[in-house]
Amino acid sequence: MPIPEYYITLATLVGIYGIAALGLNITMGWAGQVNLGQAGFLGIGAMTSAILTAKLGLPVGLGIAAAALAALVVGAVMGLVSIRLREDFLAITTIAFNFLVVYIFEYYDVFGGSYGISNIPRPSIGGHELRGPSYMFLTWGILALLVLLALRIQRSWMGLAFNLVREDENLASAVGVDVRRMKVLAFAVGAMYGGVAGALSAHFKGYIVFSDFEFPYSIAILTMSILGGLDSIAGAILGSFIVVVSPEVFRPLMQYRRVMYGVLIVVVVFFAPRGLLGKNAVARRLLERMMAGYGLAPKGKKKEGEGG
Amino acid sequence: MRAMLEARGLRVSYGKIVALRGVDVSVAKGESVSVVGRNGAGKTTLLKTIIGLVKPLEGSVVFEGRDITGLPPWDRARMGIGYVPEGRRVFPYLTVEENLVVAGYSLDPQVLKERIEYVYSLFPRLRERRSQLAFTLSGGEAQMLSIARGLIMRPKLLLMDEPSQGLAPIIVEEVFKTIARLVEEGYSLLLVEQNVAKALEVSQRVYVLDQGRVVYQASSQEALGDPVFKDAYLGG
Repeated sequence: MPIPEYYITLATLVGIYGIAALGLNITMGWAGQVNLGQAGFLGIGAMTSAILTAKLGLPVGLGIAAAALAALVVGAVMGLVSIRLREDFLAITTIAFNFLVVYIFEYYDVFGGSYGISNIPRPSIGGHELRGPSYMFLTWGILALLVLLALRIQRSWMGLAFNLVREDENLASAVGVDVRRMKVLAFAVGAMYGGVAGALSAHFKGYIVFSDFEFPYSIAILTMSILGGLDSIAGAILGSFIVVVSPEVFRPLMQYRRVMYGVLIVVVVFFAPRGLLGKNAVARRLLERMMAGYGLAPKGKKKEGEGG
Repeated sequence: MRAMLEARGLRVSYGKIVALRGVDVSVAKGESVSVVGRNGAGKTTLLKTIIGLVKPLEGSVVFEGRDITGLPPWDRARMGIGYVPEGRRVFPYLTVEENLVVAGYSLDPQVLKERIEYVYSLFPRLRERRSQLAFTLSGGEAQMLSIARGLIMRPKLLLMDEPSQGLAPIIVEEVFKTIARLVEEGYSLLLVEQNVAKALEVSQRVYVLDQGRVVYQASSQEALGDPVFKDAYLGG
């Protein structure tokens, strides 16, 4: 029996937003750089790939790669800006960035203005368009690659240095960590994840318009990150799952969706401040116990740093 | 002998509070110098200005003949200035070894390995605790880690801010033995200390800071023979 298309759609969306939330975790959870405009980076990725493929007829693979690069570059610029800003101003600046990006999409015809861009092609392999399950697998395949990249970063000196910048920026700089470079890297890498997620969503829906990337979407992505745990890789995906699936489950509550994000954040912050899969969280301990039962216990060493 | 470090006319203020009012301090190659004085005299600010955490309003910091006043702290660290901050500030949720690795990530991996081996040879206890999280260390061990981290980049000059602060007397002895050994190995040292007697034992010269000014400077021997100094700083 084939899986209903509805579930495939949900699973694809979970993958796409999982990538976006994972990127936010890198910028915000690891390096401690506030980013309240992640949807802006999704927009940059989506528009880049849409223009290259729908308007210029380039292959989708190239479009997604260009989307990653475009978001990476804009993210690096945002990182350079962040160096000069205190945390609270950075929060406001990233919100402003989100509004600015949406404004540009709405007012310039290259981005389709208020009509958006339609007929965005699906990727195809050997003449077969990837739809339904195959597009879902593509999304989850890319998610898997990006999880591997995140793990690599987490375990390298870069992951350590990100933690230090978050924990104690002054001390980090005084013992030789190039704090500026780390901030630029953290923003660039996190934005790149956002750009890939944006491009995947564009090719999934076939149609995008400026309002797909407005500020509330940044809050939705932030909700995913906080729910799962800002410093947890698996948490980003779990958070995405909860936020994507819960409105479907609670469809009668649809009009209260945004209120629900708020309630979810408050509940999680209250009962599991480090997120469901954050350190010492109930869900994480349960999961570890289950994994231990299957002989899959993670190695004892825990390296994620916390505010000290 | 030409100075390795020369701080000239440093003026620093935090808003309206003036911390340094024109301070000149120098350290020659291989020399060990201590800075003593009351709380709030500007000692910590002086070190922070030299490593670059605080920007002076006036004055300059010259290291090995190069004006580094405008450089960020990490560039200074890479040029050869090691910094051991006050209060045993280690990164609590990193392991002992990770604390060392992050300070040396810009080094070639092979060199970094040798450097880590070297600091383990100085502090064998850190080797035993290499995979423990730093917050589990005792006060003395954390201070050793903080010093070890300051040595990872093979600094030419080591800045130490009150390494004996808040430690049990027996640990203080150990810390100063370590400092004496570093001086013997040829590290240049600028040491800020409240424990004046101990500081003088390991340094050749001493500056006294008071309200942001250098009010006294002498060789350690002179200072020990100076009744006024002894009266004020060694309790007679």
